[in-house]
Amino acid sequence: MIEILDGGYFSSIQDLGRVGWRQYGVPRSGAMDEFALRAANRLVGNSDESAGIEVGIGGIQLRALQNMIIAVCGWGFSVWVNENKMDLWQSFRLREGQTVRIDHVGGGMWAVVAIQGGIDVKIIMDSRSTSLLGGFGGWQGRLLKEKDCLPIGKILKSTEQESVRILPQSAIPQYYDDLCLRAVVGPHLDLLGNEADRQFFQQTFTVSSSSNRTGYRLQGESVKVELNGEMISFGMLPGAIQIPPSGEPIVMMADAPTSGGYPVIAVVIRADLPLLAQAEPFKSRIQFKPVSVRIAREAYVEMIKRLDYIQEIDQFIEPWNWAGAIQ
Amino acid sequence: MLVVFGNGINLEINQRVHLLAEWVKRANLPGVIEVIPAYATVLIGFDPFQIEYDALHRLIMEYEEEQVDPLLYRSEKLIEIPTIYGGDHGPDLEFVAQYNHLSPDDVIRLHSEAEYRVFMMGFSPGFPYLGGMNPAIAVPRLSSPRTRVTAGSVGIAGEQTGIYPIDSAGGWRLIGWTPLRLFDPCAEPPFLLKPGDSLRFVPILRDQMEND
Repeated sequence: MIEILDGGYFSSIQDLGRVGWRQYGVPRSGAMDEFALRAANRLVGNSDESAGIEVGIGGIQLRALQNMIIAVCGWGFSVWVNENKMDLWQSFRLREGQTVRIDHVGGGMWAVVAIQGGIDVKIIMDSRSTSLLGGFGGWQGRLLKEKDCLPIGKILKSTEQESVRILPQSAIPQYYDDLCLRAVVGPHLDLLGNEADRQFFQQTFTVSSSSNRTGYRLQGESVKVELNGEMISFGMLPGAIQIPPSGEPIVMMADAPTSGGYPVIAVVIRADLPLLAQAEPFKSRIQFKPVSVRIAREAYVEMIKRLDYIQEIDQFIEPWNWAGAIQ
Repeated sequence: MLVVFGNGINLEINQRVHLLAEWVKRANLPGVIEVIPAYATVLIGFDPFQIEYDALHRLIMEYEEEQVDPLLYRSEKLIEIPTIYGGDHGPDLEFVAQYNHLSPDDVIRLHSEAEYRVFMMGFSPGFPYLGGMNPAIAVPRLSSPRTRVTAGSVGIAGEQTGIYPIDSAGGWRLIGWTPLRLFDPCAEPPFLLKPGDSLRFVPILRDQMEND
């Protein structure tokens, strides 16, 4: 088990999300940064779909109630075990009783903690993700707080990992403040007209502070919408960029409702969603570039392939010295 | 992939939506992981590692509506929703009546004599958008939504009616409440209704429920 000493503000249990339940109005949920979750899981020897702890800008403090192998991935955080600063994107061992503190230092928005064996909460509707909207899943359907003790899944002896695993720098997504996000246009670009098209794809936005797991609002020159009449609700998905009458685009994120009624000008490709998820309000400068469905697919395949660059470093350091030894 | 049948809320278009949705589900198309029917569109989610967009597009284009028997996909049963109208359970019943120059009993009668179709689900887990309401009892939404609507509340917004499956904020005018549980995450299946289902509201008296 692992105990939450301080949950910060936005920590929750997430996996890759709920697939197949959106027809009933159940949001996908899942980690905001899909790449960070997959990488953290692989670094500790889990399958990609294992559940981890997603940490928001409030940070988190955890205490290991058993010996464990753990990895933290994400952007904009520092990780401390006692007085030792640990690297993100690599596995390390925690001894029973040791605490790990994850602080938000800026530059990114989300971190994911994976523990070998995965967080073993009940699977509800095919996923362990917390559904904050529905109040179910994860740990009691809510954000994590002090004194929560999370169960960890059993580890098969054969998969017990003795070496350190690292994802090399070159394989980590390029989480910059200046982003050019790729998006597939449509389905309502025609309704919005050429003016909206030009306005949207030629300007630079920043993420507004009123953004959360449901959606990221973009600030910039407002996009003019000339719609005749109202649209009726249709299926929505993470990445969809809605243009409400105010002209301030909203990008649907992991907890987005399953339907919406504002026109969708484009959909951010899945491979670039982690970059957007990590974009900091006001600091980030975001442009969009239209790409084909083929590029979207290739980019996603490439993103998943980058996980294979994880390296094993064969060093057997005594566990209690690990924290100090890996800098 | 979004398949568009039109931009209207009506039974005919929505029936075509559910016909395609059912066909896709039953056809076991490779790589299809999710089918989300709405009023006039079907959103199809696919795994890019199993199928490419163009290939899926070709498979969907092979769909021939005429060759699908609508009866095959019609749910036989009519789900009955026992509903207590008015009072604390339906604080806006009076308003709906006044707005439409009717008596509260007229509203109850008109609301409960119609057969409804679950056009789509959304907003919150298990929330059914129901089509088939008599326009004579239509009302605009609240100008400022309630911060908390009790699960089971039956509401009207425009020409639509729906049931809140979980406690949530909401701007629909509430005319009644059902003791039925529309959503229980741990139940199998978790949802009482599914898109395409037919249902009817059955007025019950408060005493009746308490005796059950």
